[in-house]
Amino acid sequence: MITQVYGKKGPSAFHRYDPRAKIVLLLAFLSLFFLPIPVGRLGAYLAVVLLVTGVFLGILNILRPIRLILPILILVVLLTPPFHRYGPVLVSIRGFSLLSVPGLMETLRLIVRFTGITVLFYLFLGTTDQENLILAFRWFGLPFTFSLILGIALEYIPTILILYSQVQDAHRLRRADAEPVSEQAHPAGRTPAGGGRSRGEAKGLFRRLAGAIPVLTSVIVLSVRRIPTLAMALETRGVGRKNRRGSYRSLKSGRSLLIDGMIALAVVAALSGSVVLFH
Amino acid sequence: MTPIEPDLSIQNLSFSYPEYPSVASRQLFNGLSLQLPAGNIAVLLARPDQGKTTLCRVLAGLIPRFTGGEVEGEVRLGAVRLLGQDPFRLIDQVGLVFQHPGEQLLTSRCDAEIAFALESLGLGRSEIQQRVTGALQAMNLDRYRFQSPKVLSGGEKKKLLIACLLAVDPRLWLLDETLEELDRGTKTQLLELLKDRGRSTLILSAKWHDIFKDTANLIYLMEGGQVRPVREKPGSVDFHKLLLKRGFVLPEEQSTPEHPSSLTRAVTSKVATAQTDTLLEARDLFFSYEEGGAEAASPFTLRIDRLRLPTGKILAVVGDNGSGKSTLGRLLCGLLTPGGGEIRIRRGGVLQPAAAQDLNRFTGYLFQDPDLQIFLPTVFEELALGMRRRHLSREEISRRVQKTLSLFGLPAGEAPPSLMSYGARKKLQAGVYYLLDRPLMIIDEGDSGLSVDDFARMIGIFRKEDGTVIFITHDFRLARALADEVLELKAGRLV
Repeated sequence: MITQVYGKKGPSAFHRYDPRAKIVLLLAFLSLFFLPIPVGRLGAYLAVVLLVTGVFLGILNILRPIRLILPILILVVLLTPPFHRYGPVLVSIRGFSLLSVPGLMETLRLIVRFTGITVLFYLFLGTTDQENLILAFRWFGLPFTFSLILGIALEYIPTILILYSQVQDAHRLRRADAEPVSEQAHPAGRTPAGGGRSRGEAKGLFRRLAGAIPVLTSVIVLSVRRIPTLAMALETRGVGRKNRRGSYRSLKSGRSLLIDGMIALAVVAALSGSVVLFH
Repeated sequence: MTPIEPDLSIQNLSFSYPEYPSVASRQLFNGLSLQLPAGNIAVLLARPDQGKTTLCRVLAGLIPRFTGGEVEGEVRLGAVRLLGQDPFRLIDQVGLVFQHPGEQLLTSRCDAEIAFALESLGLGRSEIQQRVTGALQAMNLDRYRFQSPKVLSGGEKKKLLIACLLAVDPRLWLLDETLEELDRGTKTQLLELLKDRGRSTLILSAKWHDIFKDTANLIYLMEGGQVRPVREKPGSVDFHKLLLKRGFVLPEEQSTPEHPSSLTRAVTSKVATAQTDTLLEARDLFFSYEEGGAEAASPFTLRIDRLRLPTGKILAVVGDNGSGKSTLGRLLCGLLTPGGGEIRIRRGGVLQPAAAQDLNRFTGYLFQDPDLQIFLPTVFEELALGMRRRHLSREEISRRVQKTLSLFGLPAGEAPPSLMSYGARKKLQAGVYYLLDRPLMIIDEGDSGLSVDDFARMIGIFRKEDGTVIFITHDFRLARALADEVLELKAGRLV
């Protein structure tokens, strides 16, 4: 499931790339997506991010994070144009502007920005495990508790998705009974208890959305219920102690860090240069 | 290692949880006292809902810190007062393995999981590495060293948590139903290790395991908020009678269709009259986690040449941790799609190939973790959900819920499941599927957290409703006593 969420963990060069250098690159690219630069250029940066993701995690894996945020992108497409109705009109009904050029540009900008940020995190987390992440944060001088919280929070995303999948399974088994069942499905003409029949369920997207609500509700309930046990688990492992914390392992230093760091700095310099050059 | 002299001493412990909306405060312990000499292994037997988990958490400093409630009395581990201590200060003194292992795992690598508490203790790197390696080897988990604990089976997760404690080696071990879901080899190994190390150990269990006979120095019974030592000698007739009376063991004699034992008679009484038609058949069933697209990076594969399940029979599936028992269960209920082979179910008197959706409708599957199947605020709401979806009348729903509450010995309908014990939540999970009335029930480690007579009763209820049951367990004895047929899985193959 972890690999399904964050892509397949594998021995690619980017998987081996130093997590500290990855954090630098992540911050640089994230900043880029927030800069007020033309949509076309943002799109070019997104293309670079997608290309890198495709190369290191596989072309098909690019679709995974995009699929996850698809409902949000649809909302962006539906809700952004009405708030930007000034400027040249592209689509209108009886003089009422539905889509203007600024509205289209803003929608594209938001889509590119949101997709870029999502794919960046996907690439970063799909090639870096939680332990290395915490070690990298600690290397930058962040306190252990802060690094742990960040690590747990980031790890919690796949955990929640695992939970979602398990709860979905549980609901599927329980709900299957309420769906229309042929008499043949029960041996010897047995019918479900009560012999009740379900009404036909709506089909398609609406059905899937409606089906997701009880699953989501259950996941939220279970996640909230797990907060105190997570806190208990942390304290039974010594989180809260004031003594100096030991270290099971550390990230490699020396030549590999130097090379990876130089590469990261070169990329950051190239990005900064491109921003200044095309300003 | 020399046993440490001071022992665990609990004197007049009283505890009540705070009042919650619709739940009155209940005094769980009332003057509970217990003495555990250093280096001894004590087994504390208690039926579900008697407060085993609460006692463990009180001793580990987690309760009332995280739950609130009133605690009184004196608890000492040697010179150390345990009540009121912060749990993180106690980690080298008191080690606890949660009943539900998934709740205690924190990291994304097995070796890091073991190292976590050692880092908290501030140990040097070489010592941490040495202890991590030793603990992984001791629990035979080397091959999972760099893997995520999330891909481990329920039993393997418990083994990992035991490895975490082995590495820290606290002076008091609290094992909350830890032996459940562990295979016999691991149970033996664990208890021998604890004996060799001379660690004071308190094992809390709703079931008597034969292995206790040779390893436990002390046996206690907990009921009515108090603990009393068992004076009868393990292995004696009186001792067995006591366990039998409290529902901690099944009768000695084996149940056969011809000579069912007294307790298992209710379960197996249908055998003589059961239909012999095949209800479900699997042929050349193959599943690989990689092929199946599931989470494991391990190369585990399950291959079943032929599995035939006659209508009205009880089949037990046993095997070591990670042998593929749950995977088989999930394949048979359509939650996993096989990479090869075919599953056929009886429809209209004929065996027909079944797709995943058909299996979803045909089979009830009680997950190993009941919490994944319980979401609603009250027991009544949880039980009524399926019937509401089928638009049964309010009176009919109420009648059936009352019947189910009584059948499974569940608390009142307005009780909130989140405040019920693990065993009670398992019963509620069973009640939910009982009301769905599926032709085939698969119960995954359903005996964990339940006393054996509760579990036998649960199987009997499903059986009496003309159901066919597959139950997955580590308990060979239970399997032989309750099932018409026992299948053993080893590394994904039928033995």
